[in-house]
Amino acid sequence: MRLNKSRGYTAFLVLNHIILAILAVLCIFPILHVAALSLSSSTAASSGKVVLFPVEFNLKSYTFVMQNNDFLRAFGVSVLRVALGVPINVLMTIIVAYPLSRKKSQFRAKTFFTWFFLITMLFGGGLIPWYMIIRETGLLDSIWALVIPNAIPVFSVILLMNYFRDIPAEFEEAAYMDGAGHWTILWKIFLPISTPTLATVTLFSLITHWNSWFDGLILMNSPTNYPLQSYMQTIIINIDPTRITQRDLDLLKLVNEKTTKSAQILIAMIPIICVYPFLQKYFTTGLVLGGIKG
Amino acid sequence: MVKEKRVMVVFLAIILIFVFSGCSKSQGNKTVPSQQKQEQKITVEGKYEPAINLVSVKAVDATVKFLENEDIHNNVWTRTYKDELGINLSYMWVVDNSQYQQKLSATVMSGQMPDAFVCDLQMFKLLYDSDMIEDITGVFEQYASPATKTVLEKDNLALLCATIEGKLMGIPITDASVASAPMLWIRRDWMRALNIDPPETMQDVLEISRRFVNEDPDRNGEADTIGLAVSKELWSAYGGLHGFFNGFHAYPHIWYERDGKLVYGTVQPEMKQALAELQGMYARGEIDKEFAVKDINKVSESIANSKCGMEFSVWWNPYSPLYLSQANYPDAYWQAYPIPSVDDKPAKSQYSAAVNSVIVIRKGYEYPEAVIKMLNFWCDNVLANPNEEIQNTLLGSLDNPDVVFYKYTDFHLWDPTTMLEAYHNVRRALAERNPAGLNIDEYKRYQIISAYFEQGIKEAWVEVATYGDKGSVSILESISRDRGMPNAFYGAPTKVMQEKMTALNAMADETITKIIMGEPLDSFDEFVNKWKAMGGDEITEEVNEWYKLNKR
Repeated sequence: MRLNKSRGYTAFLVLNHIILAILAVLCIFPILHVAALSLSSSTAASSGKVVLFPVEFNLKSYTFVMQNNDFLRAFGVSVLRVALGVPINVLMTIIVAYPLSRKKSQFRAKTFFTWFFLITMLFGGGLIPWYMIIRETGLLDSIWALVIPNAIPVFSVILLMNYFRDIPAEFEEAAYMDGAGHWTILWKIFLPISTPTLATVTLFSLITHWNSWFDGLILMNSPTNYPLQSYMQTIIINIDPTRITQRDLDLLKLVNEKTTKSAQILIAMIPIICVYPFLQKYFTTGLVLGGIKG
Repeated sequence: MVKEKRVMVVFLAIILIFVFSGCSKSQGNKTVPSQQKQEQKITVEGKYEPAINLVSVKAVDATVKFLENEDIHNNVWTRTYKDELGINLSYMWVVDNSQYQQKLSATVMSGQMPDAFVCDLQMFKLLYDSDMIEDITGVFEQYASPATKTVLEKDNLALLCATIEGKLMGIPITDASVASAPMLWIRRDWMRALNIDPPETMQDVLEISRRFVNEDPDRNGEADTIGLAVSKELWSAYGGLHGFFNGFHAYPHIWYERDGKLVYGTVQPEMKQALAELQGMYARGEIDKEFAVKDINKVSESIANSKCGMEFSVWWNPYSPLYLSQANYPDAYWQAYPIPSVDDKPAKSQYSAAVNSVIVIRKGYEYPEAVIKMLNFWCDNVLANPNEEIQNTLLGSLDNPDVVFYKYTDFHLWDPTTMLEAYHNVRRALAERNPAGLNIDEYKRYQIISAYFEQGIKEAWVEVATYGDKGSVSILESISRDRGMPNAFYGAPTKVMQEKMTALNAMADETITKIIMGEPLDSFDEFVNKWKAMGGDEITEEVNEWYKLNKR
């Protein structure tokens, strides 16, 4: 308690808060800037007058985005991707993490399988083999290409595995005595007490699926199948004006459409912003418990 | 050895059998739809029957839009190819432009070659080296129609860009090479406000820059203007420096002949004088003090904010970003001028061959001539016959100008001289006040330019400054006549070039940026020595070897 009042500690607290506040402002600033851009007139935006507050306020870009079929369709693909991908990720994490968390006496090939999964986290085959496997398995150009190749998030598996390991053996033994098998132990005992880690795993998977864009671009054969972030990438990337030809002149005008781009970025952020606060409270406990207690 | 030869003979025989059977099959099935031909005024030779398949890949961007119920697999071009030529064009995939090369590499390297596709020059060389593309020298000679050949020969560098070791390995996608030549853009309203005459010499340019900074050309009472827009990229399409250096007879980034050998412009002594002037301008605040961190988007903002009144850049700049000045300040007007010279020798604008990409055909594809036929169809019916009805059906509809049909196919070529022709036609029509004989494109420009002069619609200045009298297109014409400095090296990048050029150019940019910001001019000599030692000499050798073979 004395520590609480010591000068050094107060100084530390003050400094800590200042640094955190600066970091928070740094994080929020770009979002506010984009929000201000999306609500400004397009001439104000292109002449760089907009910083934190909208100039010549209007909602034109939002009405434009809401009528933009490409955007809405991509949004739909992303929602579908999350709806399929997140449950698959969580389910796979659970059924992989449970056996790996058992003792060697219960699961003899444990070391082999642990390395089996770990290696995929450390090494990748590279773009071409990855592409070929997905092509040969016939997943190309379907929503499953975005879901199945990443079905097992190994990092989440490690989190959950560590959490399972820390559950006192007594729970399991008691259940076993009462005649429960592995399935019952997993579903009825382990899962209900692992909610913080499960929430963390869900959040990770949700964010990964919502944010990934590269696989969409490479694996989809047509822009109509792009998930939202792949679509966003195509509109936000800068056109290289040194390679412009006569026929591309109309493309140039798109470069200056900062307001609609900003509106789309903002709308694309909304789902994650909505989910984050609800899952975030588990986030810290889930991560810490998983890591430290082991 | 003998065994190997025997295997080769058998192999060749098999290939020949395939080739001949392929040819005879297609030739045997060719029919000339003569009646149909006359009705539609569309000339086609040799329709495939039954229809053949051609698998390609395609890049699209945000400007590719479709009519209702149509998409990239079903549109006027896929139907036309099928009905007129008997070619079922399908796409393995369609991807956004920004990811095209990457996705193409993934596809090709994983062993799935499309039958015909567009690739950049680097990949073109790679495909040639790994023997994956067809030599089309013979096919081109035999099948290309006169119109197609004319278009490809108009830019005399075009076909050479796609020729390796004397073999034509693909069809270059043409554009006007001079379109990349820099010119000088100045705010004409500012010049008038300060009573300045159009620049005749590079000294005038420096004078204008000084006065734009010191005499408050925008009359807002603040010293907030800069003389010359420069981006941190240094060579960008706007706010670039190529034009400035050209005024001093220096030609960075291109190869040109000096004493019978090709030399690289970036390391020539002429660079120094220009650099000295730039250094002075920077010291006097005529170049943005923070230019080294400001990219072209920032340059475009300073143009939009009416903070700068002069830049060196290409002909299309009014379309973007210069139109932003006028959008914010209605009286703003940018005028293009030829690059002035520092001495009595006229300055020349540098430019490179416009061929950035090539249409290639998969080695072993049964119908390599199908690609030529598609190009013939385009050249014979669209380019050589700009009749309104055909333009409406094949190029894009007038009722819905957003939907542009020709973007649905990659198998088209553009006449590099269209721009200059359009300029002359529009000018004649404006002088006679009679739009008769103009094609759709020219007519649109005619109308816009008339609106500027007759109704005072100031937004129309963009067309006036480009296609109008003394607009930027007219400067391109003089550049293509005798005021241009073409890049003498137009081959695919050589071996050492591929490895080291990026690093060498980055080193050059760093040195130039530092010198502009005040480092002693002598560091340029140090840079030149380093450049030579770090691979520059090797590249120069390679380029000169190429030059010996391709010199004309």
